[in-house]
Amino acid sequence: MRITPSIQSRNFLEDLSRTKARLDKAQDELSSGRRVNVLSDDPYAAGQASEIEAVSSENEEFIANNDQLISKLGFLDSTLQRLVLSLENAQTLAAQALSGTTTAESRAALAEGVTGVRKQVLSLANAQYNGVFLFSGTRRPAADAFIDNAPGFTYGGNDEAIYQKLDRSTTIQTNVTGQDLFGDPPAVLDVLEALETAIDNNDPTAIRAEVANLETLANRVNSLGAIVGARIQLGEQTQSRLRDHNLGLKKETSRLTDANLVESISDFNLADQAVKVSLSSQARIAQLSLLDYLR
Amino acid sequence: MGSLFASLDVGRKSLQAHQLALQVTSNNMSNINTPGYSRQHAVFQTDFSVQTAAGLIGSGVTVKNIESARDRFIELRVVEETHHTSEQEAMFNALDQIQRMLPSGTGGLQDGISRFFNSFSTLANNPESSALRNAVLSAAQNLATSFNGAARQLDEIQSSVNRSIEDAVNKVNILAGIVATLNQEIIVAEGGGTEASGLRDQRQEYIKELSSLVDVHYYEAQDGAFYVSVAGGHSLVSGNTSQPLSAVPVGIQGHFEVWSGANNITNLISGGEVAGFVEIRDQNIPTYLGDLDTLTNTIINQVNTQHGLGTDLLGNAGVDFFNPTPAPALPQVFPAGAARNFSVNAALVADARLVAAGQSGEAGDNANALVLAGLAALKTLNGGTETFAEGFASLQFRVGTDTQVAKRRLDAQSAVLTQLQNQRDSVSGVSLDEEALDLIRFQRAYQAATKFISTVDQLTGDIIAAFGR
Repeated sequence: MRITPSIQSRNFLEDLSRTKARLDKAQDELSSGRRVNVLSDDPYAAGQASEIEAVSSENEEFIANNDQLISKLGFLDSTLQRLVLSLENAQTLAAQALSGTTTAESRAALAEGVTGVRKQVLSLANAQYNGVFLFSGTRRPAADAFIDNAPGFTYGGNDEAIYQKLDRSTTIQTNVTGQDLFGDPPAVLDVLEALETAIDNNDPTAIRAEVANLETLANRVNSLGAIVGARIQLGEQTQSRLRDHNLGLKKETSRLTDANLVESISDFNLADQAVKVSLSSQARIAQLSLLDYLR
Repeated sequence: MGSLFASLDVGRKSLQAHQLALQVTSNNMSNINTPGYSRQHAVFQTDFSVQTAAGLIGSGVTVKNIESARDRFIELRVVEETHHTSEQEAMFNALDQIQRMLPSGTGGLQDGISRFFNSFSTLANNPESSALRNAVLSAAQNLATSFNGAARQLDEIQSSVNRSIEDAVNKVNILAGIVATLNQEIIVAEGGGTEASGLRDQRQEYIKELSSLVDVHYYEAQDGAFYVSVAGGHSLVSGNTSQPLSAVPVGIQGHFEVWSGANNITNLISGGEVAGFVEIRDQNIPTYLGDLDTLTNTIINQVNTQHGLGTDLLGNAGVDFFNPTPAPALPQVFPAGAARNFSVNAALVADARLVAAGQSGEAGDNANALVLAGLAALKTLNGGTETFAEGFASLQFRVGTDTQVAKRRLDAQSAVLTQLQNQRDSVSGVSLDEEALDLIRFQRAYQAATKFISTVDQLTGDIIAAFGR
């Protein structure tokens, strides 16, 4: 085959172009840290990474939401604990009223103590988290959720549960309704009001009846507290699982699309050498001509 | 019978022949970088013989003709492979633009879909929050804008490719006219029996240029004219006349169809840029737009249906979240245009309270927001086999694969074309080393002829001097 300068230059340019494309690819990988920079670099990996990106983004959202949810449930739990303490205070006051050594003056003080407990409970019943009543269900009353009518009270909320998803498949109730906690008989505000009256009236039978009710209420709050605690635990477990899942997804994305830097550096060096050798050899070959030797 | 004067004539012929050969050599060297140039060489032959007492003797040298070195089969193959290469190049260039419109990561369509459905999940935390409601609407508008942008870019590429078809057809007609003119000039020039090498080289280059545009086929008639056809036999050049193609805009989109006389040859063109443009315009882009429209329309339908099952902050049933896809202009079929027209209901944008996060009318009800967020995980696309995210990833996979295949084909075609061009240059290309040797050969022969004439002159002088005493 005759070799002409046009063949030499065409082959040189084609080879140089290919080598420079390798150099460019290796440089791209090194500067971006990614093996897949456009879809055609590896369509399967790009498609997979795209799906993973969607799942990972959803997980991130669940994680952010769950952080808020756990915080809300923590506040709910502490509110229930304070309610238990209030009920224990009321029980202590009732026990003192039943001691048999009370005077009219001390009973008045005890009754006043129960009134204070009732105010604390009312305050807890109207507790808010981020400006929203904790115990009003899905309703958002303009005034308080529980309005003291003394005697009795009015509940402005409803009995609706509120749910939230911890992840794609786990849904939990995020609230305790005022109806469940304060509204269902025996209603704590009514019990405290009756206890106050019984102490005022020095009626041991009525006091004992309300002590029994307080016991029932304490059990109710404690069991609701246990449920909320279990939900917090579930939330934290889910958070941990979601974070692990996202870590796994990141690793998978990295496996699919990230560059192997050692390999990229090696490719870069090889291509760099090849370009230099190619340029050097062409520079020498291009100078060779019979014309230079004819005199 | 020979004489000294006859010998002078032999020397003269040698001088003339080698001077001509040197001219050919210098012409070859001058055209070493001329595209399509075929090297020439002078064909020497002994001039007529004369009778001498000892027998017949030649009367010197003459140049019989100037021949071009060319291999018609290789030239034909170069033309064939040029139109395959150009077709793949046109396709790859368009697909490369398309693939860069569908990136992953922040700001991409996938990110937009995720952010939109995630925003409902966040709203479920605090469904009466005005800020979160506006965040949902903002995510929805971003999603719609991203889809509008992708559809518009695909439209623009389609429109650009369409205009390129018209440009290519105009160029084909110009080149066909030039080839017809060159045919006429070659017929005239070669009427005297000599090869019009330069004209043939030029014509071959124009044929090659034509083949980068359409799938030309040609043959050479006895008079030296090329008869060129396109799209499987539709005449483009017959001798000294060309039959121009026409690009006719059709439909509301003004897509150009290519006509040869009364025949629509658009789908018969099997090579060159035009074939690549037509495939991108009529196959690839409509497929991608169709996928995008189906994805968009499914999102619209699913979200609107679920939104309608909810109640807003005012206690009313949810209105359409997104504006329903309008009926497309014929001949397009539903849901064509869904991505292009994707938009959020203006009533919601004006009043975020209309976002139907609940199902009971209570402000704190998040039931509908939860279901809306959960739509992202439902397999509602492709007959219930893919989620929205998976559907979009499938589109990315399809575009990526098409681009990769086009690139691989282009690389393979380019390698074949390079090899053929090298083969062609191996036969027709100019080698400086060869020309340098020829230069020396002809120079030496010319010098020898000069010496010969000088010697004969001296002999003639001697004779004149001897008889002149």
